This record gives sequence, C-alpha cells and structure tokens, in this order.
Amino acid sequence: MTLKQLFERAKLVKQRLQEEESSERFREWLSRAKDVWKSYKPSKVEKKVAAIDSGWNYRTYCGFYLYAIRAVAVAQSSETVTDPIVDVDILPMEDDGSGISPELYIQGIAECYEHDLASKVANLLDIVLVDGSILARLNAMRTLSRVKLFREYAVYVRPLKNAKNILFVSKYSQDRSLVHGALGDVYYINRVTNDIGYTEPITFERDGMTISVFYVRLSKNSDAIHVEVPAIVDLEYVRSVIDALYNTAVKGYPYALMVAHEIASLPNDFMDMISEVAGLSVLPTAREVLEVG
Amino acid sequence: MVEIGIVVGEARPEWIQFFAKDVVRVGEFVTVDTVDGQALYLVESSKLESKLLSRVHDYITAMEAKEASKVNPRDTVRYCTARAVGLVKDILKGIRVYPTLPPDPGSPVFLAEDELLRRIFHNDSKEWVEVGRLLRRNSVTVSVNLNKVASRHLAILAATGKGKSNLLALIAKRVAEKNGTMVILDYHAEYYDLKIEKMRFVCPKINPRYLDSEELADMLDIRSDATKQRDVLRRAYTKDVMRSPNFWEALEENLRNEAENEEDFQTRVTARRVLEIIERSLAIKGNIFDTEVESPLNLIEPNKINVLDLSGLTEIQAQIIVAHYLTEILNDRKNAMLKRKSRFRSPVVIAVEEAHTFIPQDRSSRCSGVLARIAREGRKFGVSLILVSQRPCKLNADVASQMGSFAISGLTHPRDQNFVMEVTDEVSTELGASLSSLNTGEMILTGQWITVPALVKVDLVEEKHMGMDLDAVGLWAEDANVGRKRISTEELIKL
Ligand SMILES: Nc1ncnc2c1ncn2[C@@H]1O[C@H](COP(=O)(O)OP(=O)(O)O)[C@@H](O)[C@H]1O
Ligand SMILES: [Mg+2]
Repeated sequence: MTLKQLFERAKLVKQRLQEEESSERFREWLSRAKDVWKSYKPSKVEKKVAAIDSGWNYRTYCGFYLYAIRAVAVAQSSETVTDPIVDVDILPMEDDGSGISPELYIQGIAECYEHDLASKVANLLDIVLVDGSILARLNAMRTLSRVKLFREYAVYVRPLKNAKNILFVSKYSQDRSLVHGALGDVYYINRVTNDIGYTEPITFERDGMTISVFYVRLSKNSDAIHVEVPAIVDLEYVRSVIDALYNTAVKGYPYALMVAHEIASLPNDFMDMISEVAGLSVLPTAREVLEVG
Repeated sequence: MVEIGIVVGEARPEWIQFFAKDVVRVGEFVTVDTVDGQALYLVESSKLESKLLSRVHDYITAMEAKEASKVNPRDTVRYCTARAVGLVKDILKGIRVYPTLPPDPGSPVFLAEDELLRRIFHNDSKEWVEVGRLLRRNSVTVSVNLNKVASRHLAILAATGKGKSNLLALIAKRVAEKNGTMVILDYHAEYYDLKIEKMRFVCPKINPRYLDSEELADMLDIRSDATKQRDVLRRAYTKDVMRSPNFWEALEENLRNEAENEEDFQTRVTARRVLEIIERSLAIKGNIFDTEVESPLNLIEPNKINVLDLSGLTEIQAQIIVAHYLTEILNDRKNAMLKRKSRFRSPVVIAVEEAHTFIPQDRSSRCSGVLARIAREGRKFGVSLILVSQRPCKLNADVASQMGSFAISGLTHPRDQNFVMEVTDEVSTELGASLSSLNTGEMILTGQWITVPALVKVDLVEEKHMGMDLDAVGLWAEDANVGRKRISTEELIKL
C-alpha cells in the first residue's frame, strides 16, 4: 500500500530529471563540463604506487560498543609497504544529542590511521592513493569539534600539508565546484565525455591547507574519478598521474585501491570472531535485543 | 618433500580442501599429516580463479582486470579438493585405513614422492600385472590384481573410443601370460585381428536339440510377433525330432506334412512359409547349428583366450547363444568344485562387450538370468565377469553393484556419471565431473583390483588395431591408385 505511494514519488523524480535535462541551464552545464575536459593519450610509466584504506566494524551492546579497525598501506601486488595499524576497543555511546554516531566516531579514528599511514609512506613511494576526499573529511570533522577526537584528528592531518604525492581519490564525488550545476560535477562530465583525460586542477584553502582538485578518467568509457592533492599541482602533474595509473585501472578505478579495500575490510564474520575473543559474544547485542522484542 | 599447499576451510577425515602455490592437477597424489600418521590424498578437483576477473561483467573490464590481476599474485587462487585414500603406512601393507581425524587447518600439503607412489602402485608378486602408468606421474607404473578380477568381477565403463576394448585386450594379454582361461563375447568382431599368444577365435556353434521351440524360432529368424508361424514350429518340433539322428530332415518332414495335409488353408500356407524360413536360415547361418555337438564347451579351450564371434547375429540370437554357453560354463565349474568330471579345472573369466545389450536395466534378456547368477555367486565357482559398456545407466543396476572393480573414463551423460557414483563408492561428485575431460586411454581405476584408486594412463596394446577409425580417404586413394607419390613433369624437368 505504501509501496504504491513510494513508486509514485519515484516517478515524480524521474519526471523532474527529464524536465531538468531539457532545460537551458542543463545544456549550459553540459557545455561547461565539455569545455573543462581535456582528452589525453597516456603512455605507460612505471611508478611505485601504493594505496591506503581502512576497514572497520562494530557491535553495539547495552551501554557501550565494541569496534575494530584495520588500516593498511599496500602495493598493487598486495604487499604491505608499512606495518598496518589495527585497533580494537570499547567505547560508551556519546551523550544523546551530540549527533555523533558510533559510525562517525569510528570513521574519524580510522581516518586518523589512514592519514598517519599516508604521511609515513609518502617518502617511500611515487604515488600514495587514499580512498576518500580530504575536503569532505575536514567538513565532517567539524561536527566532531566538541569531542576530544577533533584535536587528535588535526594532528594527523597536519603532516599531509604540501605532500604532493598523496592523492585522495573518490569514485562517487558530490563536488559541484567545477561546473556549479544542480548535481555533482562528475555527472555532467560523464554525460559529455568518455575518453581518457582530465580537468585542470583548481585549488581550495581549507583549515590552513591548500588543496588541488581535479578529475581524471583512467579508462575509456568509464566514470571519471575525483582527485584531491593537499598541495599545488600543475597540468604536467595530472598527466603523470594518468600515465602511472591507467595501465592497471579497472573500470577507471586505480587497482591498488581495490586491493587495499579488499585487504582492509572487516566483514561481519571477522567481527563475530573479534567479539568472541574479547569475551563479549555471550552478551546480547543491541540488534538481538530488538529481535527478541 | 615438496610443500605445495595449505589446508583451508572445513576439513573432514576423508576430504580436504587446500590452496595450492602452483599448478596441481586432478589425479595428482598429495600427502598431509594427521594424528593417525601421514595420509595419502587423491586430488579430485583443481580450480584456478582470478578474484578480480570473477567479478567483472563485460569484455572491456575483463581486459583491464587481466592487466591489474597480473601485478597482484594474491589475485590468483588455486583451490583444490582431495579425497583421502588411506594412511600411507597401511597402504604400503596393502590395506586401506582412513584417518580418524582430519588434518589441522593450516597443515602443509606435500606432493607425494615418486618413490612412495612406486612402492604403492607397483607390485611384482605373481597375481599382480602391469596395466599402465599414473596419469600424473609417467615414471610410476601401475599394477592390478588379477585374482580380484577373477573373483570379484570388473566393469569397464567409458564412452566410445576412450579405450575400453584396448583395456580388455590388455587384460586378455595379461591373463594369457598367466595361462588363464578367458571367454570374450565379441559382439562387434573387434578382436579378430588381435594377435596375442594363446588367442583363439571361435565361431559359436549351438545344437538345436538343446533349444526350446521359442529359442529355435528366434535362432531361425522367425519374427517374434509371427505367432502363427511359431505355433506351427512348436507343433512340428516334437520329441521325436529332438531325438532324431537327422534333426533338420525330421523337422522339415513334420512341417511338410502340415503344409500338405492340414485342413485349414491358412495353416498350410504358414507351414510352407516356415519351411522357407528354415531353408533360408540354414543357407545363411547354417554353420551356427551343429546337430552333433554334445556341449558348446568343447569349442572353448581351457588356459586360452577364447574370442566368441557374435557378429552377424541378431541381439536375441546372440543372447540365446550366450545363455547356453554361460550356463554350461557355470555348470562345468560347479562340477569342478564338486570334484566331478569337468572341462575347466581353473577359474574362467568371461568378458562381455556391449554388456548393456545382454543385461539391460529395464527388461530381461535371454541371458540376463545366467549373467545375474554369475555376478551373484560366480565367485564361489571361479567364474567372473568383465562387463564392458559405454552406457552404464542402461546396465542392470543389481548386476553392476556386484562388480568389485572398475575402470571408468569419458562419461559425459549425467545419468551415466550418477550411475557410476552410485555403484562405486570411491568415485565422488568432484571426480565424476572430471570424467568427461579424460582423454583416450586415461581411466580412473578403482575398487579391489588396485591398491588405491588412481587416474591411470592405460598401456596401448600394440597388437590391437581394431576400433581405430578406418582411414577411408587413404583407402580410396590407394584403391584408385592416386595415393602413390608421383613426380610431376615439372619436377622431372627441375631434376
Ligand atoms: N591406452 C591407450 N593409449 C593410447 N591410445 C589408445 C589407448 N586405448 C585406446 N587407444 C586408441 O583409441 C582407439 C579406440 O580405442 P578402443 O579401445 O577401441 O575404444 P572403445 O572400445 O572404448 O570404443 C584405439 O584405436 C586406439 O588407437
Ligand atoms: Mg570397443
């Protein structure tokens, strides 16, 4: 019964998108996306590439939660380039009304670890890829300003400053600063271009850092990815990034990041084992309490 | 010892899974330590997978994934499963004892050493004979126990052209070397040019006096639905005919009598027709009948390989002949065991090619009774069967379940594969799935005649040339005299 209403709402969305697409401003955005896009014919250059990612999971119990994090820095060959960071701990829930969920909190800690790893390995490698957006991270961390973690977070962000070879990569970027359209930049870029290429870097100042932002597409007919570097970079730099990454990209996504994601992930069955080792498997989790009710 | 893998996942005492470092083929032997000691395992499945390539859904992404996978050795997974065939220390004593507990997860998996496999599969004692080599270890010869074949039966089940007849010829050769007695029921005249020592070719003879009227009608090619003709024959085939020194004349006399003097016109016509049929039958295959022979056994010699040529006979005729011969052989062997007068003083092995036509699953044949009896109790009297078939699922399951040993290859039909898995407890689903990919001469040998189940490359019997596809094009060319090498004028000038 509600399903029918939901479908009707969904149909409205479709209508709105269709109307939007026939509008004048939509055509303008598309043409702007086309203008900023530069096609490029890459040539393979061997570079030392590594990727950083973290996986985390948690279980809520009455009055606290148990979390586990692992952050890794690995090469495309799956070899770790420095010791991974792992963390298992229990925390009480933040006070009601703080707006800080366990997810947000754990994500914050995990990002600290990622940044720590990134700055540690940056001088060993040509390119260090991190899954995510530093701009989005900094924005999100503002909500943590009331908790202790915020100061700690800043400590780990600081070393990234001017690290030219640390690249934050995101596949589903919501950034709208380039085309200034109703939807994210990648939406328009993917609509009007399909070849390997890039956009010119533009820079932002945030929390005392200069961050260059650009888009690249690593394989033909794939989605462009959003890249941020916490330093000032030029076109030459962007092209060299494509040269280093396109050869092993899968569907336009850097392979090293896929490997890192795989190695870092902490699936539920692992989490079960961890809670068992922590001696907590005998306690009902919050979810189980719900199930009984 | 070479470490090739690590035990992962759930392990059971009889079955393990492992990740391999490098290529490991189905049919390979590996060892793993268990609490009971070192156990030998037969690799039943070997899977090679790129985790990345398994996830892609289009060609272009697959091409990209291929490049990416190349730089990541962890992306390639070699996953194998293996079945325990026994504890090494016991196998070496000739007994199969399974481990009571699975190996610990994480246990190293070793490649079984050639030397160990040689000690397991090669046997010089007199009841063992060599039939081939381990498929994955060319240097390890494989022996089988002929005593088990001669007492517990054998089934050779494989698709056409996979080497069933070759294996049977090889066994015949080995039996001949041991002065054994064998009867091969050769339905397709496949063995007539097999030139091994002690081989004899026998045109079966049957004394019509020993046939009942229905059998006689079948042997004479009277159609099974021609009931009137069969009635006429039954009336004419009297006790006097049976005892008459001139069997055919007496029979024909009775028929002629009916053809001339019977009141009913239709019956007279039928009798004349039967006379014609007998005349034609005797002209075409009269040499199969011999009104003088006492027993079919006289044609079969002990300590020889007797090839009974059943080609040229209809299915029913072949069945009748087989029924008579086998009944006689079984009775003779019973006499021998009772120390009465007998022709065969030692065990007889009977090989049945196209076994599914002689003991079909869904109906009974003229000889299924005696074959079932031999399968059930032949062991007591020293008569054993070697059943050869390319359609195992059409074989009588009760008879097949009496088979103590098996040679299996190249079965593609799921029903045949299932049948094999049902009648042998050693061919599992995993191994069964690999059956269809075995090449000619590559067979799974299992059961009592081999120390432990193995994938074996059976030796080719050079003396056997039949079954090979004939070279029609070559023969035509030869026949038309164009196949010979001729020098063209052009070439002559160049010379
Ligand atoms: N063990 C073997 N090694 C090599 N070739 C073989 C072997 N067995 C059979 N062949 C070849 O395959 C052909 C068919 O073999 P055959 O025994 O007649 O098969 P089947 O009886 O199963 O139809 C033979 O002509 C022979 O050349
Ligand atoms: Mg054959």
